[in-house]
Amino acid sequence: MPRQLVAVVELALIHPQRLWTLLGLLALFWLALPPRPRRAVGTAHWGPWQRALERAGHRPVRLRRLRFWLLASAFALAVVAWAGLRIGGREGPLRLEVVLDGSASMAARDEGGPLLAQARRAVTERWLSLAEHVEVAVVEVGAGVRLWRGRGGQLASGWAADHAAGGEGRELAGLGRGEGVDVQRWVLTDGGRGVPDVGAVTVLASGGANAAVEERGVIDRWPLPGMEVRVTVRHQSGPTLRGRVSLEGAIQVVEPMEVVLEPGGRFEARWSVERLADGGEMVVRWDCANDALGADDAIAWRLAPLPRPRITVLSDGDGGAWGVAAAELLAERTGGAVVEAAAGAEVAFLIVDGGRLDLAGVPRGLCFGTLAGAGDAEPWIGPRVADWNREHPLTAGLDFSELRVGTAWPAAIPPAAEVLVAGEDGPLIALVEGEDGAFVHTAFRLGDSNLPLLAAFPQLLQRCFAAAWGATRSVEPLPGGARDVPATEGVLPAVASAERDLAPFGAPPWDPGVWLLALAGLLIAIRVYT
Amino acid sequence: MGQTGLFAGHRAYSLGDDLRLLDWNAYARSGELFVKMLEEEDRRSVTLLLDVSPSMTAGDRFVGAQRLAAVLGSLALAHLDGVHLANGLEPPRIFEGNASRPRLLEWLAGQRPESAIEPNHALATLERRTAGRVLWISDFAEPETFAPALSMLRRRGRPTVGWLPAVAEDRGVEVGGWIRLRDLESGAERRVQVDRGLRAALEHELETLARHQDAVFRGAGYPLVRFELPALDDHRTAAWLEASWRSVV
Repeated sequence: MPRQLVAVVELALIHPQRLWTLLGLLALFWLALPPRPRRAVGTAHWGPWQRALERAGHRPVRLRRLRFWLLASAFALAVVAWAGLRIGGREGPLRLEVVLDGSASMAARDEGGPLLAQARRAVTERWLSLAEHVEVAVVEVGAGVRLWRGRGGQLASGWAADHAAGGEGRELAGLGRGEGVDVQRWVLTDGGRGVPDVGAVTVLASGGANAAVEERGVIDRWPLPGMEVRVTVRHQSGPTLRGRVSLEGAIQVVEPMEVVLEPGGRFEARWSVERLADGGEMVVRWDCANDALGADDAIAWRLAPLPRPRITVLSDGDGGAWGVAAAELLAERTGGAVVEAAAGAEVAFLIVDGGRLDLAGVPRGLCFGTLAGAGDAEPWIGPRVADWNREHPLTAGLDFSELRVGTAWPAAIPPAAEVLVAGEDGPLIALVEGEDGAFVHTAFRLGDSNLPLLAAFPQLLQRCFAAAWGATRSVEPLPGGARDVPATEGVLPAVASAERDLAPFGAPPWDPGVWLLALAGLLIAIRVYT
Repeated sequence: MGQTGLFAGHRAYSLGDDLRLLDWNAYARSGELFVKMLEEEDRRSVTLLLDVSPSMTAGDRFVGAQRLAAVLGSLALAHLDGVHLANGLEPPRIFEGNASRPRLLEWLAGQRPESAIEPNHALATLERRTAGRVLWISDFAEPETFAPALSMLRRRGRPTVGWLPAVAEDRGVEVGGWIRLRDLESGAERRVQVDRGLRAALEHELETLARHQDAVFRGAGYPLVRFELPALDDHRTAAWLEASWRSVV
């Protein structure tokens, strides 16, 4: 018979040493031998004996040889089943471990879409094509570690859920073949952290270019609307990129900037903008059609709304017009309103010019020559400016050398105030900070000085207003975007050809143990029946 | 031995009766055949039928039967005119007078159980020329074989006494465990495990057999004597038989 027509069935035994148990057939044979009677008894009453045997249920053993072979065959089948007979099968791995690179760089796109999505499609297609006996485990490493387990042809529950790439990649070059002789490992990556030398590898590098946005800082002048935003757009990989950087959101409209990034280059963008009174999100965005990785192209903040203060002016004398003008200026800049002074009215900012006033319960404001307490000190006539604090945020960069004061009242400066501008006779402008705000006190009334005429007055006014609100989180960075993309992920690897396909999977041999035991049971049943 | 004796009456003729005993005068008168019964004939001879079938070899039954036959035969020689000895294989032997006792004992001693006994051999033997009361020594193991003979004896008016030398095997089995049981008649064998249940069942069957044997003899109007075999050196048997000779024989 030609060899190709002969079906060779491979047989294997897991525990061949157990076949020694077949020697028990000798014991079975000995036990199956008919008993050797101890003596012979002759009887003349054969008939009564037969009837007595029938009554006692003693039947003569029939088919003794057949019964022995049935028992011996059942015993042999049980021993073979116990020895772990296996039929057929094919050598090869029976388990698949998939390592899926879910780092942020896998969010890069090419014609097939995001690299991670392409990798998941490839895993899904292969998973469904595997035989049922193959065990599958998928590990996705990126922002976290996710694990799915299943069998060939049957996707694990939750696998269909789409997860975005993120986080920093893991070192993959050192991955081995996988623990166990029946395991093979398949790594899908863009090659950003190396490619393993063993096992199956699928490289999905996009070969695209990328630039990333980095935050440099936001200077916020809240409660004033003004703010300054600085970012850097850094070229990460690929050829020259042309795009635009825009700042948009809860701010006044600003024109985007056209940017050309050479390989390795960077662009510093700076905006001085004013936020909208209602606050909201503010986003810096890098738009480039050729940028493959969009995950690091934007940074966002949440801007707190402007305080919209209710400002009241109290004046005693001619300086009230200056106070009103200052109040109106502040209200216009902060979205607030100047309200009439009325008993019981809620006021966020108080401007007082002259007079005497108890400031208990008022959180913040400006007092120009306002006396506190009952006593009157001797006024200073024509005090000269001795110096001013050039480091304090309220007075830094301002020039008070031309300040002229006609009459100053020392009692208008609270005792524990921080001196901002000092005269020859005493403090002329001081700051008192409280829990809910701050007050700036001048020892002179607006009408008794040329302060409103100084160039520093508007700046001083705004700074005092801003300082009066204290520390407030007016700009809050929002997660996501470029904040979640490590700088190393922005460098997209080039297209690589180091791919290795999966080896053919093995097939487990058939275990006929149950059938052998069932056949043995059938033989025993036949023996009992006979 | 001649056809002498006192006339003791008539009985109806049965096939096989001696034609010399026909009473022709009674036939002439009645038109029916009648046989004369002679009283002395019954007293002066007996017929000893010894069963020599293989079943008699159970235990000491055959030896006991030989001894019983020797005792009965000796008593018959002493008190009667003669005795017919039959074993079913050869024509009956006739022994007369005490002088023939040694020959009687020699004949009995030479008897051996035969395995080629035909069924109903007793009937065939008794249909030959025998006389007097019948003393049938056998194990009567198969009632279907001796029942027809008893019926024939009853029809012919032959007084008969059955002697059954009893052995322990007639009541049950004493051994236990596995035994090789062999039929003494046919030679068939079978391995048997004797347990409590089998003992009880066998005792029941043997009791049934005993009742059946008694019933067959009772139905024929004859006694069946179960004779417990004494030890070989026990001479009380002969003394008992001597004392009760009249009632037994």
